[in-house]
Amino acid sequence: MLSHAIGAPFVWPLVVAWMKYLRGYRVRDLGQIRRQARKLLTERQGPVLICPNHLTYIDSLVVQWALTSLVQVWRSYRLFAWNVPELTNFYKKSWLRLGCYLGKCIPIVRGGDREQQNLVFEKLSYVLRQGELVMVFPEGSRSRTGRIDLENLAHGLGRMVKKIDHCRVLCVYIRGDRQDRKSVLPPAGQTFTVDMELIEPVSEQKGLRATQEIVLQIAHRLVDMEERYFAHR
Amino acid sequence: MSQEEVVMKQIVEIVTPFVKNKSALASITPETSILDDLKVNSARLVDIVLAFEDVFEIEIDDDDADKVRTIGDATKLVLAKTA
Repeated sequence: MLSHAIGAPFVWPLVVAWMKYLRGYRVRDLGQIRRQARKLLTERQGPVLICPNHLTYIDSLVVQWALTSLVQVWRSYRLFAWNVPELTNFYKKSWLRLGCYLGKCIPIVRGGDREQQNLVFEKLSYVLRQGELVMVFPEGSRSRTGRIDLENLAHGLGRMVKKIDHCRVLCVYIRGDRQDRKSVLPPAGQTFTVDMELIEPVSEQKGLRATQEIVLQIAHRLVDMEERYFAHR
Repeated sequence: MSQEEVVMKQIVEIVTPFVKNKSALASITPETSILDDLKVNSARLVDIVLAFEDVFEIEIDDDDADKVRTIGDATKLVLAKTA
């Protein structure tokens, strides 16, 4: 795969360097976070979705950087998660389009055609079953309130979890010290706090109710982590 | 009033709180698109379909929910499930 040959060894280090040296981002207790992530992601085989909160356009990059080192990604490109960027945001410029291609992305149009969305979720389900990691934002888009937004949850996520046997979800709460509300990029010089929990959402319900319950289980776990973050701030 | 009209009236009542384009409610027909014409947020469509389940005491699966695009689609689905 071209993205493996170029993305992991060449592009991803540049992105990390940009975040670290040009933007001045830091992750609090980075070593401990990565050890915890490695333990959670490798202790058992099977599909794992990464579900972070969403405040900026580069959350997926920051989460990826926080969870895995460059060496880990070089050794196992599986640990570099597939992403689901909004097509209208990330596919307007050719360099962004190329970046998305090299960065394991499957674009989606939020609120768009149902068949197209289902096709995207089929593709994501396929790569999950292959043992790849997939990162999906349960909030669907960046939170308008600055806190976990339970109003616009991505129900396709619930469907995916429901359809895939024993699909686990790594809920990741990430927030920069000065991130009060949504923005394009996190403010420069930001230090991020990261919290994570691995869950296996299940529902006794049927149909659409099961889908909703699963999405709510994931979102409420993020809400719990958010409360914990603000309690210790 | 036919059963179809009764169901459609109930469906419009369920959908109304989620409608952003309130003016479109005045000229609602079976062809009215819930997302495009009534400007309901796509995430809210799930709440609407769950409300159908509660009101009409039916069970709707994900694939059936996908087919609901217009007021007429919703009416047909509810009638089929309650038949």
